[in-house]
Amino acid sequence: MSAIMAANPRAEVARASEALAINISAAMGVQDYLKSNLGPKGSMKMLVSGAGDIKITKDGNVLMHESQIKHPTAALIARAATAQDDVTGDGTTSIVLLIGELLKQAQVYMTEGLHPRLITEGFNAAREKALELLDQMSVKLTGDDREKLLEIARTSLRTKVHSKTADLLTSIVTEAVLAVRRDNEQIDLHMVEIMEMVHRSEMDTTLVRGLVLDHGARHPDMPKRVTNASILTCNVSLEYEKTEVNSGFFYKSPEEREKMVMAERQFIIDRVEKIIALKKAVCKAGENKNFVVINQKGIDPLSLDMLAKEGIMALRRAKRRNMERLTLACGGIAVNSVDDLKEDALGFAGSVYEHVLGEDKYTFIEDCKNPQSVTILIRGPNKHTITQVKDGVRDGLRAVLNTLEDGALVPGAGAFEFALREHLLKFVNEGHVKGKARFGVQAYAEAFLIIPKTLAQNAGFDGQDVMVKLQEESRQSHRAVGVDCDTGNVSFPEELGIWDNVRVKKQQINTCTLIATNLLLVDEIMRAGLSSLKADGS
Amino acid sequence: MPHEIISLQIGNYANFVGAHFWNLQEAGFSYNSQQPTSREVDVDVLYREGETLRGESTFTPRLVVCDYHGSIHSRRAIAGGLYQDDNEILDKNGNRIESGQGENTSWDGTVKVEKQNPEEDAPNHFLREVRESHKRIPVLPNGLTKRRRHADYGLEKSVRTWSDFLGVAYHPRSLSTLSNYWINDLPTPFDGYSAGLEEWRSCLNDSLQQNSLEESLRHFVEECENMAGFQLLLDGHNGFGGYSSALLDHLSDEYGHKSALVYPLFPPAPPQSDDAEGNARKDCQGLFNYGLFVASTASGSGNSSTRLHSACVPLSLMSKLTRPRETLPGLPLAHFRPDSFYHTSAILAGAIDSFGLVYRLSSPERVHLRDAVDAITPHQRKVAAMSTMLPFPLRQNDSLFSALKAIDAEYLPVTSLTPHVKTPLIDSQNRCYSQIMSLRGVPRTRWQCSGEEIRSYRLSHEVASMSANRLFEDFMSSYCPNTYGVGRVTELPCYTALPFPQFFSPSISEDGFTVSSGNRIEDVKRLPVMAGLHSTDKVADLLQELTTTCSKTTLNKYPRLLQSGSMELDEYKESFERLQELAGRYRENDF
Ligand SMILES: Nc1ncnc2c1ncn2[C@@H]1O[C@H](COP(=O)(O)OP(=O)(O)OP(=O)(O)O)[C@@H](O)[C@H]1O
Ligand SMILES: [Mg+2]
Repeated sequence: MSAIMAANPRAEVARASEALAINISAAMGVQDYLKSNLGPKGSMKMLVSGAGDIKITKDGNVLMHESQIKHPTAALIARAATAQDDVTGDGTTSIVLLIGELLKQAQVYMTEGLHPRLITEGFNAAREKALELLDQMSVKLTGDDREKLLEIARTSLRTKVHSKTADLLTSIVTEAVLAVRRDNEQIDLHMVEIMEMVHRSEMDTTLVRGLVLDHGARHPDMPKRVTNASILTCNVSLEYEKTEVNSGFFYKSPEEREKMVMAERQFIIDRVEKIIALKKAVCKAGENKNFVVINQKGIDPLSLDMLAKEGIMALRRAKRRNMERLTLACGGIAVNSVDDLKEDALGFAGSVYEHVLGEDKYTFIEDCKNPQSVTILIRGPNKHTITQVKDGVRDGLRAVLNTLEDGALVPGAGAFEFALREHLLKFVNEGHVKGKARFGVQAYAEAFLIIPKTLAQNAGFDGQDVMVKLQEESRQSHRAVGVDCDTGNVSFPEELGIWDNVRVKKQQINTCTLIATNLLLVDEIMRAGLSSLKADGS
Repeated sequence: MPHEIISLQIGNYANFVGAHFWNLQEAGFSYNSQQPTSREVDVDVLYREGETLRGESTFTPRLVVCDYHGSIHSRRAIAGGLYQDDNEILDKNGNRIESGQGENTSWDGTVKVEKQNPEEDAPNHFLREVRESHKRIPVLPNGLTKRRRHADYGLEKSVRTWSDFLGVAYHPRSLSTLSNYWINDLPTPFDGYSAGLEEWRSCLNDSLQQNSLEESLRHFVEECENMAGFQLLLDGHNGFGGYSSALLDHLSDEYGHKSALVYPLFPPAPPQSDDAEGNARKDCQGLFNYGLFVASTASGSGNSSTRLHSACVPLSLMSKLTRPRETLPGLPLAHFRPDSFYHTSAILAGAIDSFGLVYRLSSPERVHLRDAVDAITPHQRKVAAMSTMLPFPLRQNDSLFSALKAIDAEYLPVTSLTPHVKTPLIDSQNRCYSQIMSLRGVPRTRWQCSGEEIRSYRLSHEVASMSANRLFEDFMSSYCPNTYGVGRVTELPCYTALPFPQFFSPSISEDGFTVSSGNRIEDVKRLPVMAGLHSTDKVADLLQELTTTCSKTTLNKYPRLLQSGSMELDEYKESFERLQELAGRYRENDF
């Protein structure tokens, strides 16, 4: 809250109840803004700037990011959503709904005179139970359950992109994560390169088992396509640059400088010649072998010329991260000095070729042996489609990664939230909560229903009706029940393969409880230009 | 082989200066085959050739900009319809309408369209005309036939941000924004140096960042055949200072052997509120950030072998940054509005562009950026000052020799654009270690003295046959006799066509000459300008002020200065010490 203090030091202190009202209305404002986006049937938002720039998204995190939030309470909630995304990559819309609903439910009891402190006590008790239930409901993965990985990827993707695209991407993201996984090591998603191309349609998005670079050879005589290629990954300057030595033009005579320039130039030539020598050693005549240099540093025209004459394909200024990716995809090691040039530093790719689109060049490095770095090449007719797909792919990758790291999944479609309500009410009715704190537990229980209810509403069904159906079914079958967004009936998410990540739920439970508690317990709030505070979060 | 230079503009004010800068570049191009673009200057240094997906060729700056999140709302307008996506159509206001062809493949369910503040983004008169005249590819008024006077466009009123008067197209890849801060962001404004450092780190990791600056930069560098280095304009008074420091570190890491000319800017102060305490704090914060930036770029510490080779030239149209602040009363022949971003940035752009000619020349007289940086940073004195005469007084029939001679030694109409640094040339007490100057807009026919001049001044044959550069260097050393100096004279004037502000004295003619009877009706179209960088001990005055501001007392008074971000007290102390040490270098006697 010190932030508001800074915004207007002369702000008046508002009375506690008023402060609470402000917090609640801000939280509701943010909730309203995101509510219609939740779930597979949520609506997509197309944000169009006055100048016509388009952004298509239904991701809570993106939407929070794209609106300037001036209200401090709303900003706090937005930060919680961002943190949720940083940690888990998912569940941001839900967390905003949950915070809003917790406050709303609390308010019902507070208008009847209940002290916020008692409610928050209840919240904390309920949080414990929620984590416990989460554990109980989790379904453990046995070994490499590829089927389940595909299911979680599909669930995630279908909440972000068109179902046809989602189905295409499902196996792409799953295979990508599995490809970069190495024994006994943490999976590094950075080893999945995401490359975009304004070309054809999103349905032409592919997984390249190798690397796609967003630049090409810079010499007209270099080959555009080679097979059977040794790959030299290096970080060695092949560019003649002015340095201290030959600079300082007011101390030296032109002749002296010219000499130094020549000497330095020779230095670079020597480096290039060493590379050429290695090429000659590995690509013997008649063997149809080729040589590709991918350098993180610059290569100037003279050096390019020398390399081109030897039929070497050379790329300069590769991304720093591609040094690691290249060696994982093709083998070999990245070389930092020409002294380290030797045959076993080289990697291999069955085919390397260039693809040109307007001024953009792409270099495909494919047919690698057991690549441990891969590329998802996203195509689409325009920038905003690509961005939408890219956001979806990121979520999908995270979902698969989370699953592998958790070793478990929870049934989705609101199943957990619905079960939690039943679980908590039972807990209260059995008399486990002392005193008035039980109203807090009840409020918590009701609040979590916002998820299944909203899923139903966004699919065009009456939330209340669907809740009644869920209740009836769960009492009969004692199974995890969720919302069927196509029919408005009960579904069994485990059967349909609709899953959520355990860590997403865990983080949600912890964060929403914490934030709601903080907002309820705020004793005073600075009245920082109350009239100008916008509750709509935008 | 061009020695390419990549331009970087970091911050809102920096982008104002940048917008003028690129307008000036474009105004110097000619699309008329009868009168081709001047060959004096190598345009490939700053520009790149490209091609759209439709095969149209383009010519755009080698440029990366960064501004607040959401501030580049008219990406489309800035990228000027170049590189437009294929299935998009623009309506007559330049707004995009969906193509309507085929079904919507983005989502199976409902798609809600949300227009974001449409009225705010409506183009002003100038932009509308630029767009109309060139349907899709806006280029500057140069090619327009209609008579246009600056006064008809009301730009002083309608310019709210830099894209409102940007008449050229940037490459879409040039645009990037902060990921967490909006302009005038409350409750968390981007007003701290350390917040900027943190923002850089978060931008690197931010998956939502569409166009990461780092990636775009790499693309522009990859295209260069033999890059000389960078020209960096930045807002030094707020979080962009910290952001730029981090950016410079990145440049050192990735492109360590290159050179950089760094211009930290201090914009005109916003109108003060009636909260005196708050004003004082804000002013102090601005200076504090500025000091930290200068300390980090100019102190020459760090691993010197990988360190970027750079010179730092602080710029502002305020002559005094400490309270009470003072703005320059005006230039002798240009009366700008001191509180206007649009006006003040035009002066800075004019000076930066004019100076930059020395390293953009196509002749062998070109000064390599590396040499320029070397020359003005002797003995690790990495902060230099900038001066300008905008316009440079040149009468209709003056030769270069008589124009230089006519400049009054007592009243030298040179203005220092570096705050707290009094005009570098004027004061004989002042010690100038080295300087590089550029004088532009003197027609080649005037470079030689006329026979009459030779007779009346009794010029020796040696003087009479001196090259323009030598004449100019002689002039420079007549003011600073023991100073190492490089001077370059060019014919190409500074084209001040619309939308450059028309704030010139009535005694400047349409063609930029100084006349005795001012009755100009049309806008001033071109100007001769002089601009230079000077390594002078006067810089110590600025550094002293910054040191005082960054001292412990300030910190005791405003502890929040460090709070907003990740900076540790130790880091801060280190910066402070560097600043002191740097100031000390200007008081030593060795030169
Ligand atoms: N096919 C489905 N049928 C029913 N519910 C589903 C289905 N797929 C996903 N869900 C549910 O939708 C919710 C997730 O929706 P969504 O992804 O839109 O929001 P989120 O994950 O909270 O936020 P984010 O915008 O960060 O992804 C989860 O509760 C999930 O169980
Ligand atoms: Mg989700």
